[in-house]
Amino acid sequence: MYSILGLAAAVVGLAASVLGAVGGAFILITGRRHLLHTVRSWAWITVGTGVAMTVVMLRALSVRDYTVDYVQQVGSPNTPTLFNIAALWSSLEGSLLLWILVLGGFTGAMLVKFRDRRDDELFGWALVVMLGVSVFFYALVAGPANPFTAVTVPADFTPRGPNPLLQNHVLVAFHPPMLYLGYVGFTVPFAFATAALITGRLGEGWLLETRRWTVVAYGFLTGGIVLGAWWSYEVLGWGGYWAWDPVENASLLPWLTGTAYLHSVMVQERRGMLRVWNLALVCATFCLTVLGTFITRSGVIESVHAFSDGPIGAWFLVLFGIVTFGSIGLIAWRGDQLRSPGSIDSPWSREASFLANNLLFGAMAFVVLLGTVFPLLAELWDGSRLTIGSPYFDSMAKPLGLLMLFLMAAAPILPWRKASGEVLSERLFWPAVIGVVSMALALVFGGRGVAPVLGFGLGGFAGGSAARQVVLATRRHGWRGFVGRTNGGMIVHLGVVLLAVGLVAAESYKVDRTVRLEVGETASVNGHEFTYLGGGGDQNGRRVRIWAEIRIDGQDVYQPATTLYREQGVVVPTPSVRPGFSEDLFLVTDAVQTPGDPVRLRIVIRPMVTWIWAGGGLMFLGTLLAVFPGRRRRRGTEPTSVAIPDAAPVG
Amino acid sequence: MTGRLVRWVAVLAASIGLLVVAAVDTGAETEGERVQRLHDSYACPVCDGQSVADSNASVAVAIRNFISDEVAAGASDDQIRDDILRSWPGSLLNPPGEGFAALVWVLPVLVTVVGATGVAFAVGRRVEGSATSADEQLVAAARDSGGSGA
Amino acid sequence: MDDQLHEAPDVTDLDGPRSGSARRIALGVGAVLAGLVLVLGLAVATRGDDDGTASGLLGQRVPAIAGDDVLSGAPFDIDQTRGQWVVVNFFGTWCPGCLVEHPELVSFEQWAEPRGVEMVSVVVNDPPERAAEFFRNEGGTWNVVMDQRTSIDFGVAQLPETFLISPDGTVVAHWTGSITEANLRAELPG
Repeated sequence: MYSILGLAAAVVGLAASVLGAVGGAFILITGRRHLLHTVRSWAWITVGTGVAMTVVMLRALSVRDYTVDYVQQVGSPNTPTLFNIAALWSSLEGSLLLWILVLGGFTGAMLVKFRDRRDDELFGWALVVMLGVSVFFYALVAGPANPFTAVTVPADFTPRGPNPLLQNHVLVAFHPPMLYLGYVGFTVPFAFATAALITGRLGEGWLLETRRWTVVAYGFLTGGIVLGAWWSYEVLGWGGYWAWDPVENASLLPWLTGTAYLHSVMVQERRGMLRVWNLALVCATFCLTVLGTFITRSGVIESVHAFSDGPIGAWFLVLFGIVTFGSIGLIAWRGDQLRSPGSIDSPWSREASFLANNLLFGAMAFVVLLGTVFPLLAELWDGSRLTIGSPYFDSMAKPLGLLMLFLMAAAPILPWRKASGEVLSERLFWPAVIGVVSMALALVFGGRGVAPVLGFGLGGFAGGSAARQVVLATRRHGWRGFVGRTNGGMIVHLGVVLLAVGLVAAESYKVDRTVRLEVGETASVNGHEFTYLGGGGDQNGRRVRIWAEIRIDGQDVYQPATTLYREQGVVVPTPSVRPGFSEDLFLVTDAVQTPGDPVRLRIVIRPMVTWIWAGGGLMFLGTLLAVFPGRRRRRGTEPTSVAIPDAAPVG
Repeated sequence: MTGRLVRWVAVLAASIGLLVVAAVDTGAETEGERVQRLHDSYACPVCDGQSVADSNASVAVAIRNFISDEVAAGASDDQIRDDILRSWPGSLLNPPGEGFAALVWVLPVLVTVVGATGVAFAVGRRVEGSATSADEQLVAAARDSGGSGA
Repeated sequence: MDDQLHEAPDVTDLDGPRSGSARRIALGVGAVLAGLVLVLGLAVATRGDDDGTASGLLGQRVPAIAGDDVLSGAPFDIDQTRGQWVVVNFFGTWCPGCLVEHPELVSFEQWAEPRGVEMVSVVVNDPPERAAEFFRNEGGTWNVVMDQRTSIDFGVAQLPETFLISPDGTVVAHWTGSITEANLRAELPG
């Protein structure tokens, strides 16, 4: 029954998307605006079918209806409720349902937000683009990746449950939905950008419409990435949080171009410049989310996190081709109308610093993309096998990251148009002092090496600069000094500084030792004592867990464990972490047959890891504050595309 | 003016001094650090690009033990690299700086330099153009509705 | 800072020299991205042709194996076995596939010993005592050596793996996964 219900919803959703997209395009091209309301109806239907499919699948999962293909893949009577819900996105087909649900959510939000603009061409085309994207996903779910396929239950069927890695930590319930909210959220600005290109209304109108949408998507993407890193740290047991794995890189790419866009868009709002560039960045961000999905789901690039490979990958490549060449074609077509008035007068101006920001983020995105796909290029070129991993990305990211921190210190205090030496000196002095003090502190606490110490210094510099802006804003406007885009942005900057400083410390001063311990034996690593007290074990229908008891520094006992998931026959290590303000002690063990056997204990000591999570949290909070309406600007200093009063508008 | 200059010279001098201390006061690499660095430089051959340091696959454990043994026996980094690459070509996580693979190092630098040149030219150049009237109406509408933040 | 007054532009020239540059750049970027799509497309099409487990040792001279037998303490050196067929097996007591194949190897030894076929097991990631205990309990009297670098030299990726060495010291066959007596006998004369 659930199979039929689910498939029915998928087919109705597909039909509504096709009718809405094709019909809407036809209505708009032929200028029958009075018919535009039909597009809205089709769009509402796709929202409804998205919700319906999710509800049906969740219901099928909760009653364990194994005649539904997807439930047969990931369902099990032993899975606890939380992970049974999370099973919805634990495998390829189900994750598409989540994608559709989120896309429907954004479509619905657009319909509500722009309900007064039902006859507007720009909004009409944006809706058509949203529905076009939804055609693709509904087609996948109704066709090649149908999770609702009715299957017979084999006589010897034993339920397997979701991937063990996706059922042993509560973060699994939050990381993927948050990441999807970010990924899918970028469809909205893309839809408006495309609509602007199609309608030729290329000024700042579409920008103003989508400003908050972009910030929201960006906030979720940031949160999703940081939660993913945290999950990886707490669950995967390899002692790190970021491995420059292709799938991780895939999530970072749209984040990088999104960051570039959020900055350069201010130049366009304020000065009406960089129109082509901003459109290109919005389109690139969306294209990169599709590329990321392709990488995650095709298995084309070897990755620890990749979903099982299947024929779906090729579909995403097709979508990537369509959206990429579609946007390039549109930009080329409208290119001449996009030339914008104005000029950047001085390298010591806010505008110029945003350009520098874009250069750095663009370069970083290029490095990440190149490093990710280069093994494929090399294999095509001369058949050679090449692995490109952390050492490469680290050595590329280091200089770029330091430059970004420097820019983060200087840019927020630069005025528009042109700064004088006096202004620069006055505004930058105290942040610079904070930077010097940070370096001194780093040295006092034992930090060595030019790059890391410089990282602390520039972190302090950037943090001081952002803090200065926040202090000035709150002094002037009270609590409103925390909200609005500019002020929220500074909070995001403070979060970035925490995260960056944490990364510098955790990467540069990592200590990683593996020791073999008999019961009662103590290992001493970096001034900490690790005593192996023995072990224990427990089991239930789902899993067998064996842990080692390790006393750290004669105080608390930690229990790194290995867990055998019976249904999948997979052994998963579960690390135990002693987090701390200044350092994390991370313990993980190999599987031992019986509690009390000698144990091989891997000890990873990383300073300031908690700063990374705190920084990520602060960044998310900052984006929320940025969305909150801030202080109204004085009339006359509003962002506008008609910034030059004396120039007669043409066109 | 001079006061300002003095302050900035002091900041700069302090920074350079601290960085010199940070650069000079580092001890030689210990054997443990060297082993750790080598563990981080090789991909586990069967783990989709994870480093041997991070993987629990048996081959990763074997390579880790091999590296530790060789370091203890006094082998050089190059000898260890040759031994590992003979069996698993392409397991170096840092691509080599020669042949086709050198492109992965050169291209980003090239792109960054070209981009920086482009940005440098963009500063100070005046571009002409204009907005459409429909667009101006939208901006005005957005302005009046108070939708714009600070 | 909030000064919004621009100086008026010198000219309002819509067909200036910059006209069309956006188009040219877009086309350039498009060409690069078309290349990317092509590469990814080829990768999708050819994926799975090569699983990377084929040993590069086939047809090569056998790498060195030398060490003391963990059971008897007698020295073993593969260079002393020229003129004989040698089965080189990599195993660990922690490896399930190794436990599965062990009875097959024991049975194979009954067949091989009178025919002068030499066998050696190389222990991977296991303490010698545990390996010795395993052979005492599960049978098998062939050579068992510990040598950390042997598994590196042979490029052993996933246990169990087995190699066959011809009498002239060339690697002639390679198996990954649990081996059977029949597998081995099929490659050997008589």
